Amino acid sequence: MEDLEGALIAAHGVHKHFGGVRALDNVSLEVLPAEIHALVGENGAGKSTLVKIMTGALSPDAGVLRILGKDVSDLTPEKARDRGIGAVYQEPSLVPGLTVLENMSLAREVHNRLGMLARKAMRNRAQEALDTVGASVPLGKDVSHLSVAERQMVEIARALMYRARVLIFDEPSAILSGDALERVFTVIQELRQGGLGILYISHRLTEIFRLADRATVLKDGRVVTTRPVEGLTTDELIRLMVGRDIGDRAARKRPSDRVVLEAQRLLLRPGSDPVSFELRAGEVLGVAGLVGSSRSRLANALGGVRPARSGVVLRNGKQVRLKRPRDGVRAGIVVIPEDRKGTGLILAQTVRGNVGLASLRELSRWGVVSRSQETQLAQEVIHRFRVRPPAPDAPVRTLSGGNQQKVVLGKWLVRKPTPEVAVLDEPTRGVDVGAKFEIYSLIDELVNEGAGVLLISSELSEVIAMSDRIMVMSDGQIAGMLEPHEFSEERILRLAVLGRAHEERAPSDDSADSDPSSRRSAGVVIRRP
Amino acid sequence: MNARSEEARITPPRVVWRREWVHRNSRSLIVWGLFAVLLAIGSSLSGTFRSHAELVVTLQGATFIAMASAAQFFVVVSGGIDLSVGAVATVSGMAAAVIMNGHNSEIPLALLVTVGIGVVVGLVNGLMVNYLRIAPFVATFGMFYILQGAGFTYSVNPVGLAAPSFYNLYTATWAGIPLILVIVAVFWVLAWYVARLTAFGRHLYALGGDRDAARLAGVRTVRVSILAYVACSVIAAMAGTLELTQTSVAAPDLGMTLLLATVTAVVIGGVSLFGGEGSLVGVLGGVLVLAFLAELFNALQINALYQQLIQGLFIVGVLGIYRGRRRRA
Repeated sequence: MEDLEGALIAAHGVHKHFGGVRALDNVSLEVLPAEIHALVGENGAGKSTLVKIMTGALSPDAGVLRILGKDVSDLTPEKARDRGIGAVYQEPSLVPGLTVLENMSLAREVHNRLGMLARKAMRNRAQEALDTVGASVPLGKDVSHLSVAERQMVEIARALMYRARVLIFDEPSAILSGDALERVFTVIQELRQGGLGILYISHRLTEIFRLADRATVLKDGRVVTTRPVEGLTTDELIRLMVGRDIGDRAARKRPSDRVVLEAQRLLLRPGSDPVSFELRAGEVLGVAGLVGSSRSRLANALGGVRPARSGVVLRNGKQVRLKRPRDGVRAGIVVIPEDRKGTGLILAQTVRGNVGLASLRELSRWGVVSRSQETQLAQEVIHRFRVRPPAPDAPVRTLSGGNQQKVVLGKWLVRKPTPEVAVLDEPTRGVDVGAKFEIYSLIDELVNEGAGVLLISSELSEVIAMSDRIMVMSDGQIAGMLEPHEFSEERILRLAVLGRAHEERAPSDDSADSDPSSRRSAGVVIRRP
Repeated sequence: MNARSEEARITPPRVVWRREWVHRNSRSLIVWGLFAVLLAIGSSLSGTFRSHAELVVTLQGATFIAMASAAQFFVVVSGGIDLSVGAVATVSGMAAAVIMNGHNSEIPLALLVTVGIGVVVGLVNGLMVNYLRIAPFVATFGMFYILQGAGFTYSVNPVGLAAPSFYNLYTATWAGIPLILVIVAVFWVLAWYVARLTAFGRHLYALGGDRDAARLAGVRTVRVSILAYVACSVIAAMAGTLELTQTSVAAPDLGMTLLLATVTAVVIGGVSLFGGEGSLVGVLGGVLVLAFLAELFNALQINALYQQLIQGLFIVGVLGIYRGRRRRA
């Protein structure tokens, strides 16, 4: 294959195997100057592997990498960075325990003749880079105390500090939302104007249509196509990625009047108003709010992970004790946490082990776990969510981020008996369109079987499409409870940002775009460009 | 309603820095606080404890452990552990004693061999851990046995003799301070400088904090890790040779007590055994706490059998405090 004129980085015929699994098969890709090049594909299609090869974190089994027209072999992360390849990874690559400044300068320390670090020079350099991306993060702060958004900004700033020519973004929207994400978009567009080549990985097709000039579609480790985004339609792109059409979701029954869960005056944060709400059987109650609005605290309180400061939770009218995670499971409340690596999975164990862990009692007889039943359950998760690679005995650690998320969801949702209350904290973050559709279908199914679902999500279109009611949270309290005719992104955002007091004063002219019948058929939540 | 976030936004940077500083150094602060308490208790209970001579003797006795603990620190903070520190000290001490054999002229050669032994052992440890991917615990434990075995094979009795100018270091004074203390103090400042102020030090912390992230950032993780093991073994070897200043002859159990002492001091000093956390200032506090705790036992004439028991409780208690703090943070 010929180089396109002046490609900043080009991969030619790259192959990569992991054990017996083929991750990349004859993959070629070029990033041009002043181009935003989207890399799309399902979870496990090989996107992350390709990125790691381009940044020197992995070496290819075969194939050529060319940076600025020169062949490079034995690329290491250090060499890649010296040659102007910067990357902002999906899994934050900042070292916890070190400060922002220490992380930004890591492996690029400036020092004087005595080997002593020139703190001032490093601080100025880092501050300048942070200013470029408009991030106000104290340099002396331990990065483990930063929010995800701040960490992402630090990573971008760090890449800029190294005068990157190519910047690779591995799914920023999987961990960012709202303002923070908009800021990243702005930065990306500015960088393109500055002549940088951007490789942008995302599952959110809206972003791709909004940002990208060209798109390369990967499927099962192969390049399906590379095309200009202009002239491509959403449906076409999905078909290229998934290799099949995604059907409509099944119709959902109306919620019943039976209250399966009632929260009474739960105090999530000292100084905030306590939170009270009801969840009915067959209902999806969407929970929207900015990051930091205590949405996840609510989830943790309901699951007994981190009890609320005060207040009562009733299940089917009876008060339940929620002091430990076990209490939640016993009360029939399944909480699927946002932080899949930290709290959702045992990374060193296999898919089978993780799936089985949630259902040990059901899988065992006289204390002996049935391996075959456990495998069967794992197979069910793998099959329904299209987990890649489809191996029950693959250690979860080796799965891509999106596939890990599928396993977390799967282990609770295929559990028999199905949970009566499910609290899903960002269930579709980082998963591909196909799996998203599966998750939505699964939520529909749960609800049709009479479960109540609390759906916490930063993706407003998702909350609007899936919910029967939407609870907007702000600063640890409920800013508003919206009925379907009130659903609109603008309204939710205003509540989330300004809280209840401001909303009441605001004009209510925002019910035009919320026809409940059309949102139900939305299927995969993708807004057309 | 937004008052809290407003407040967070307008907190002056200096205050943030100060809070961060206290947070980051909380364990060092705790261990030095413990040391102060220990001194206060000791001085109020016992006259011998607070005497100047006793203070100097205790510090002198702690010098070898102090050095070896700094060695251990470099490996532990990078996410490893070195169980061969005591054995390296023994072997290099024996070698140095045999080479000197009472002659001042042989001191340079003895020191050279000491460093050489450290480099070789550290390299082998580092290579085993980084290339053969043997768990540090196992690799260095193997090294411990090999070296210990080599020492006993050479002789079961004390061998060699330190040169007079060498063992004088222990008792000779400079401005009233025993030279050995001056040497170890200079060494400590140097070690602190490397750990705290150089790129290599940063890389050590990064390695222990998150090896993958460090690698992605461009840190040459394998090289840094091997260097950590080499630094550790070299310093431990020097500690062993320096121990000759006290013992004059080298018994094959010269460095026996160093292993447990270093790990204890490092842990008491607030260094995480998972790596990436802790400081040499804390480790020094740990060394002093342990030394003066033993001294206090002696001053109070507590039965040696109880000493171990109390020391064990003490260690567990301190770590309990650290863990408790972390959970609340």
